[in-house]
Amino acid sequence: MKIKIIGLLFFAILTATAVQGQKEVDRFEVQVDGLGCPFCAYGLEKKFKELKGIKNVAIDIETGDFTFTYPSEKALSLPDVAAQVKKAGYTPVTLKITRASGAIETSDASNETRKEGKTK
Amino acid sequence: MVQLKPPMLQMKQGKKVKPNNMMKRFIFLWTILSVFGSCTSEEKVPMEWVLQNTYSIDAVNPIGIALKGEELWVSDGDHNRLVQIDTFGVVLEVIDNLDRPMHIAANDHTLYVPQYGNDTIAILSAEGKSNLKLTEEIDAPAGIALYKNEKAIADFYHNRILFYNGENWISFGKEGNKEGQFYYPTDVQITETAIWVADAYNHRIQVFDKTGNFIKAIGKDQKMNAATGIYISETEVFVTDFENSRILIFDHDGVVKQKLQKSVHKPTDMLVFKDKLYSINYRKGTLNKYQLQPIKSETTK
Repeated sequence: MKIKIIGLLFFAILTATAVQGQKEVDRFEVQVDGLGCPFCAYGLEKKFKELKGIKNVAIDIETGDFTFTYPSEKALSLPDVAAQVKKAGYTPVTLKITRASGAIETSDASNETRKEGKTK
Repeated sequence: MVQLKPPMLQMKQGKKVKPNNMMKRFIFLWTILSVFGSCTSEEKVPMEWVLQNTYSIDAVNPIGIALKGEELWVSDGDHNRLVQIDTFGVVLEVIDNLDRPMHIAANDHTLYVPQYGNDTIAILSAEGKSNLKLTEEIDAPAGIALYKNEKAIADFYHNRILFYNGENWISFGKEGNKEGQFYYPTDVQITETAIWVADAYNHRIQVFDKTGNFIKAIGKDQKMNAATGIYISETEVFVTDFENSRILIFDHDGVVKQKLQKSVHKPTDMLVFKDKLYSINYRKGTLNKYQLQPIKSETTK
């Protein structure tokens, strides 16, 4: 019986540690204009790798869809993402953040960024 | 037997020439001129590159192609590796653990790999792997070229070319669309007297001398959409028009000689090896092989 209790306690501690270790992440979905070639896609990836903690980066060259996850605690905002896309030399069209809490934030950046951003 | 002498010598010697001999000499000269003429006209037969075959390169999205001695190597940026292939696209060897390798270059025994993802130029040889020492930071090296002891690097995000002339590194170019300026250079090649740059998003090729002075731009009128890759042969300039899925072939003065479109799908690079033109297609992961043939018609390409 004692062994069972110790085992259960040990399991509970392990589970709690694992849950605590799993950082909550926000999911980002960006549609990027001008992402036609590998130079563009890798360039976008490169500029976003400057954001420490970014993971699950996926870029579809054909559609311009760009997704990644980022730690919630860093509270990366829509303007932050738009600025980073522009830094890479591209134009963000739509932005969507699904926060770890379930909250969704969206932005149609096309009007603003088409004026300011470089379009390859 | 008639002994032929040059006409001037005959005149100087004051000899009379018999009509019979005149005819023989005329026929002889006519024969020589005819043979010489036919040789010359054969050299001038216009030629064109004709697609011989397209080969699949298994699970590779090729970006750059280079010859290491007689080994054909391609960079596979999507999968962070280099792949050696044969001339039928069969994978022979793989070098992994690179970071977005782009337009590679090689000499007989060494591969030079611009790693777009970590801003280094990897040097791969039998001795192992090292990095090219640079005097300035680069941001997303997209292409490298070698010529004797010279090197050039297309520094994508800095919109410039770094050139090592054998003694020192120099750099030239900045962002813009005027002569000598770049909008994301993606490839570079050095020839005996010039540096050729794929000025990708200015949709043109720019040519510089080896001190970085602008010489000329070509292809501006061809409505290219991202001139991403170049290859310069002795007589021709090959350019990949990425978005339009075309390969344009110019002479060194920029006159269009040919446009290749059949089986070209998002092309990224090409080279001539043993009289064959090999081009690679990023989208379909294929290798096209072309052969020079006399031009048959303007429409069949």
